[in-house]
Amino acid sequence: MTVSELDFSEYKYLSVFSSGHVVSSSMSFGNGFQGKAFLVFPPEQAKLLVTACVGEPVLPVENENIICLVDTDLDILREIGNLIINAIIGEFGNLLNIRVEYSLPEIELISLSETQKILLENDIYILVLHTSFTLSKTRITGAVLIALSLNSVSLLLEKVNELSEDLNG
Amino acid sequence: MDSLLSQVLDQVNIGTIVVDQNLDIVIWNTWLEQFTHILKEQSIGQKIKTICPRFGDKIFHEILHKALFFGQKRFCSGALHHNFVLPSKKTNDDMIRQNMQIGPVYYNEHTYALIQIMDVTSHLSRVYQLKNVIKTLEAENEHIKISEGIYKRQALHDCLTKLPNRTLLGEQLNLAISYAQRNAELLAVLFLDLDEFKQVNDNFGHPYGDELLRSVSERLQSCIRKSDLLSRLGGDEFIIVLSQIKTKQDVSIIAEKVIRAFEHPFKIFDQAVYISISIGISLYPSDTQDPEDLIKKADTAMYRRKKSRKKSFLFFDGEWDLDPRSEID
Repeated sequence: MTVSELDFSEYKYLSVFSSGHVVSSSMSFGNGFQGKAFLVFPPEQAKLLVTACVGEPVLPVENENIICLVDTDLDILREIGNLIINAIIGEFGNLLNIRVEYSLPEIELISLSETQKILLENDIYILVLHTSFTLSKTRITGAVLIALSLNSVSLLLEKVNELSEDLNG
Repeated sequence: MDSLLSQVLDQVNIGTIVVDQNLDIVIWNTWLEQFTHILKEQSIGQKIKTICPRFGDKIFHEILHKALFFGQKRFCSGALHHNFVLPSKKTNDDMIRQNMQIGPVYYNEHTYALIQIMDVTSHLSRVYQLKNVIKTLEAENEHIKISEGIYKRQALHDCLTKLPNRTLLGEQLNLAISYAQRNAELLAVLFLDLDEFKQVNDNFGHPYGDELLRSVSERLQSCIRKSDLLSRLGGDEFIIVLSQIKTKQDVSIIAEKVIRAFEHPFKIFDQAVYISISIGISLYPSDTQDPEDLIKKADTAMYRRKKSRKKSFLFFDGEWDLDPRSEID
């Protein structure tokens, strides 16, 4: 997985997706470091990912209007989201030396405007990592969106300053 | 209270296992007893991988470790992993599908891992059936689309020669006129009619005539550019629309080429057949700007040509009577 861009509240993540629906696998986390993380894919990318995971031949989606995601596909996406978000948030926990509590992942098929509404209410700070990764020679693109509480942002900034001081002596 | 919780745990419709940090089983509920035929007394205190061998796999061992020591929760789908706990009696294991959730539980300063097994075999079976239905519908939809394409093609093409018919000619001529208008170019409509074709049908029969028409259409096609349009109106009448024409002379050159192409015989059922063709020509925009009118004027020119001298072409003249069948000199 490559982290290609870091974006603080400029809403550039909107450009990752065209209008319409996106598939979101999300997890809340708390206990000192608090927020909610989303792994978001356009449906055609989600379908490619599922197909690659179950070992079926990955063919380009011919008609993007007919993308059929059934329950089993959503379960697989939920698990993938769980795996990736656990890894990312776990690293934050390691960095801050905090034991993070995790929720179980939720999977949703939502419109982009709904995502925006959910993420932006109450002036939540959002850390956006535009990501892409290669799986079975298939390039999949999506985004990891991490919404953090103000306290958690402060904790992160303090830690960054600490590291910076250590590095600069 | 413990007894109440224990009763509740035994009545839930999911498999519930709790293991401690040594991965020894602490709780094994009734659902699991019924599913695996392994009793509580046989499982509690045993290593989980002894009772459920899949937890000996590295992936599940790591998941348990992360739940116990890092507080992580994990969802594992039956669609990917198939199953985690199997019945002791040999059954068709491959049919069993289970989802699993693993998470930490903290009690009396100890950390435990709670494993929940949900049987989703029948649910996933319905999903796979639904997937198959969707695939069948998609295949049928594709078949309908192909059929529609064939019907559309049949509706717009002549079944004998496969050339565009009068309907498609009308559409294509409109487009060609628009193109010529935008680019300030000439456009020519050539009305072609085989000379004495009726005699071929009368002397040799209709199958012979049909074969000749097919050969004629191929030869006409070889005389024109890809950007030009050849269409069969019916009987022995054809239309050629020449686009992107600079001068009237260019049209004459192509018409001459077509006439000369008919100097060689056609080989029909191993027999050489000689037939000639007469051509009437109208021009856009000098003769008219109306597509129907262009065809009508080319027809008039062709009719006049045929009456006076076959095997040649004639441009429409604005001085003529428009009715192609009217008396001519």
